[in-house]
Amino acid sequence: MQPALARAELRLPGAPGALRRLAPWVEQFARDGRLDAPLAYTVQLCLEEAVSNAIRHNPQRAAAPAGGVRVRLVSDAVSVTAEITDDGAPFDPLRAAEPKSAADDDPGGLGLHLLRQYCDDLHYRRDGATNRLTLRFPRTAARPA
Amino acid sequence: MKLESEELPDGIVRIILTGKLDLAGAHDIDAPFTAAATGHRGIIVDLAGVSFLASMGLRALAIGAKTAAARGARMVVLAPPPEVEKVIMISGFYVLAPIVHELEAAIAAVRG
Repeated sequence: MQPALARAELRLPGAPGALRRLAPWVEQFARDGRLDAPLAYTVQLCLEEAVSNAIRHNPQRAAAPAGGVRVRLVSDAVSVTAEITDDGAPFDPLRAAEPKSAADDDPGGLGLHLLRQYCDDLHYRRDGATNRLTLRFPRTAARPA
Repeated sequence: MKLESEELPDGIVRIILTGKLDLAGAHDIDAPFTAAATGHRGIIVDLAGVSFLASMGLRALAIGAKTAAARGARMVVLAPPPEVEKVIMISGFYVLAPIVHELEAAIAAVRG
């Protein structure tokens, strides 16, 4: 499939129900950017984990209509880049507690475990009052076997 | 997200899930899945029609698997598509519910 340039931005209020809008939005982006099926799956999984994690760690934002999580996706010929930003309390998912397995009852820990397994180009930065998480997915990367 | 259950002989149930087990899908099946699994000694979770699985979906399945295990019941996962199987392996969920690819093997596995 010929890769395509695509760009999209989504702003989600910090309430868990808003997450229902994320998956259809990522699916549309995957079609626009002509992502192959494994890459589309990887992007969808990582965004679901990262965004739900951002909301889970900043529940106070649910009450602030101006708050929320912003997601930006860009694809080019060689990769897809996602940037997730929010103005909640500082939270670095790369330094969070050790990941757990599905045998434990902690979906946050499991989500971070999956995120780290599916994306090895993952960067966190605190920009003033903003959490900024950047994920990059090469179009031809070897993903977890 | 659709959930159907089929009663098989010997107290075994086959729970057929269809759709995406994303955040919304996991929310849809949370309670119905545990309800469908209750009262059976063997639970076969047919994932052939599930195109997406992430941590919230795994959590819904794991709650069912643990509830089953606490009652001495067994759970297996039947025929997940390759990408879904990868998530089950990476997450460690296969420890709670082993993966099988044929219905006959699934029935034999939950009979023990």
